[in-house]
Amino acid sequence: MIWSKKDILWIGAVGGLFAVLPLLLPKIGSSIPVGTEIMIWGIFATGFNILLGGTGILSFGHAAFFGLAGYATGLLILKDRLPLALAIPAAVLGAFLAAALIGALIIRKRGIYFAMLTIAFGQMFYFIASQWNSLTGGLDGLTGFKRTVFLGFDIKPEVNFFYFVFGFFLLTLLFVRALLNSSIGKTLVAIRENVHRAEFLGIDVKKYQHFAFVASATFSGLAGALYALLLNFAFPELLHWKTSGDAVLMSVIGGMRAFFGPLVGAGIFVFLRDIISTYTIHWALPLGAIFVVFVLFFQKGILGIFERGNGR
Amino acid sequence: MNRHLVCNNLVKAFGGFRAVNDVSLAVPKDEIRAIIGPNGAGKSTLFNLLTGFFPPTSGRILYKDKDITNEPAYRRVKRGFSRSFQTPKIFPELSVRQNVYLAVQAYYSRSFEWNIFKFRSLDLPGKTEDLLRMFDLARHGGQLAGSLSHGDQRILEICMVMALEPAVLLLDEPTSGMSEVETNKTIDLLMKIYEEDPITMVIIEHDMTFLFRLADHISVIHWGQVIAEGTPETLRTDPWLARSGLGTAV
Repeated sequence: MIWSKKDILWIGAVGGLFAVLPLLLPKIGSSIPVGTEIMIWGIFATGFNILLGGTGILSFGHAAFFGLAGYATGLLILKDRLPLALAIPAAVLGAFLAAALIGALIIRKRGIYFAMLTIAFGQMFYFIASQWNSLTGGLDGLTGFKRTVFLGFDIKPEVNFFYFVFGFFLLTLLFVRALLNSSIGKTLVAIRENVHRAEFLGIDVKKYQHFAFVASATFSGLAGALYALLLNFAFPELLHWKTSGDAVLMSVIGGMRAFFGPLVGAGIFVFLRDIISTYTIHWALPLGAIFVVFVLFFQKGILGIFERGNGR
Repeated sequence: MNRHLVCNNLVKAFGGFRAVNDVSLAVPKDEIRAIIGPNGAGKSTLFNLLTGFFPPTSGRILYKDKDITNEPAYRRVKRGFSRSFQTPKIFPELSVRQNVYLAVQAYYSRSFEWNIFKFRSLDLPGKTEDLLRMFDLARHGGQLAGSLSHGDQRILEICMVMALEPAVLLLDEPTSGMSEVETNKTIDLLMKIYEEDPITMVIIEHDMTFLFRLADHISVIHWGQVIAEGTPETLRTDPWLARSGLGTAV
């Protein structure tokens, strides 16, 4: 099987929990879009972790693919009047192609050099989006597009859009889990654990690293397209390296060696931000403090605390 | 075939220092070649050149008359090269079983790369268990590889290297840091491997017992150059080696 029984049970349990969130969230003083946002960041972070936790490569550039797909979705609806069923796949394809190209250019660099290059490329996208006023609306962002219907399904109401995203969310969890279970996923682990040994087992390390980069960026693109539709808005900060940093932060808080770690991190991040920002605009401060605590004391993240070191 | 693995005038310079300085070797098929020499003589650098860890400054490497001088390491592995390192390179945070499994999987990916479904028809876990038993590692299967004793980590690395069913096996000081018992165990293991199915072996080694029991031919390296070559018997009595003080190592 592509999934073990345990995988199915866990993904089913998480799916069940999210399925009833639209009923729960308003009861605890939150709102449905918060749940939608958690799933979108969950898609971003879970995909991102193919690269970070799965392959051991740190990127600060995935916001570029997130934002690129966000802008592309908006522009395709606004300027080309494409239906959503075409605009979303086209935007995701755009992120995929951009990642394939950029990845091919920078994947040969190791460690810190690679991370720096991802920032550089990401910031390039950021400056293009914030300067090209006629196309992107510059610093004000891109407005004027609205999510409407997707193949006959009305996704304008918040709750409908929640379940629309929920579908992509479940597919992402299933797909990424299958990928990590596969021989490709195991090869990525070999590269993460000892890149030289991997190479001397005959593994074309760069090819697999490139693959992981593109696969994770494709999910960034999917998340970005959905995020633009959630807000009916695309703005330059989507592309900023700090947005990539959020994905890193989520992975670290939740635990990047656990499959659901990034999702747990995304949930905590979005939920806390939502609560704290009603009291202060400095919501990043307590979140930063939490991050520091995790890096210092719980390096394996929240899910790492429950993990037993049986080394299997 | 006398020209199985050949290198001509290999040089590797690090800045102004020539760690390998004009080395030429020819290792016939199925020979067990030992490479000896004092620390810092350039033995490991030569190994890194032969296996594609880094490219030479100049010179050529041929395998079966094919120029592989600039081929990346993973491609040489696909040709049948397989190596161990002076400090074992394993996956310390994975279990012993996972270590071997990844090696088995890597071997079979050569033909089925990216075909996820084909893998399901192969019994990779079964092959993993066979190897674990063969190298006497089965009882450590669930243990973290990094928690094994130094000697067992070396055995594990050799096990992973053998999972690739190599045609050319390169071992960098396989018995260094091993107890006498472990050393003998390793020699027995390598002899068994060779007797079952002879392959070309190039081995950097200091251990006397090892050399005399296993090596067909020895190359002595000093200051980045081959200063003597011959069978263990002839080298033992070489007057030049005796004078240079290396004779005691042989």
